Amino acid sequence: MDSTLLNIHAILPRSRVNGPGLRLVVFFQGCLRGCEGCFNPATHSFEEKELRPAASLLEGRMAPGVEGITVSGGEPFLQPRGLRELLAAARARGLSTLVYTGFALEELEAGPLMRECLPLIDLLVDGPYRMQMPEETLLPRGSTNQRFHFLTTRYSLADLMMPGRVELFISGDGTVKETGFGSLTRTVL
Amino acid sequence: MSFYTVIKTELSVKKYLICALEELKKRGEITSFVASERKDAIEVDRDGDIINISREKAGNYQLGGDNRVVNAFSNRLKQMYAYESIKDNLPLDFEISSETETAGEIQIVLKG
Repeated sequence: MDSTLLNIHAILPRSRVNGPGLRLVVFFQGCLRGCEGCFNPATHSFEEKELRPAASLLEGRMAPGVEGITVSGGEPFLQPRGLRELLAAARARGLSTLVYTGFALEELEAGPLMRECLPLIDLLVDGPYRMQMPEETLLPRGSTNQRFHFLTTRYSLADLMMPGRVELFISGDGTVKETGFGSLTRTVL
Repeated sequence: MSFYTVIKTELSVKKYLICALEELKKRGEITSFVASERKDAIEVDRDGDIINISREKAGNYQLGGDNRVVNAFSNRLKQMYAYESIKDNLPLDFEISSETETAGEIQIVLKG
């Protein structure tokens, strides 16, 4: 069976601030929500950014020590078939799965395609970003209205205190990649 | 959602260029450098290879010299420039939690 193509904004091979432990992060492209103050406005457009087969997205990308994948965006559940295939591929490799969404869990449960993804998710962080309610601790969420749903026993709240809020990668050619729950480079570089 | 962005480093502030060159000298990656205030230029000696850094009309600094040497050095200089610039501009409510360098990439985790 052909794999569903995912429209991807970016893939970060390893991060320590996007969930428990060392994680590969996939940022989906496309979101309709338009939350005021969104961290990632460049992910809103539905233009094709980078099309990748979902089932093989992880092949050749797993850095040593990575314990799971985090799916961020954009809105992952607007590509539910591809999301399900990606999560299944992660599970087949023994990787944990964390997914961010602007939908509420109850909305996901009501949608047949979206609901099929839920058994493949260890930790779901749901709810829209509210810039008036910023998360100020080291929990990996943008605003305090967003809820952590532990859909399996793999993680608990104690696993969610991150070593930092922001992570910077300065590559050998001077390119700076920044991720996390805040931005420095907008003002620094 | 978590934040994600990619930024290309431009060599625009002399202060951070000097800091980056000092760091490269300390690490033994360049032999010496001389900054000329009058010409707004810097001459770098990299084990006998000379690289000239000067400000172009657009305002950024550019490197001149043997292409072989300049291309590799330019990348490394931009990396150290970005590192020095980030460290110097950390907001007061942020501190470095960890800093590692693996496979030619510098990784910094910040607590806020």
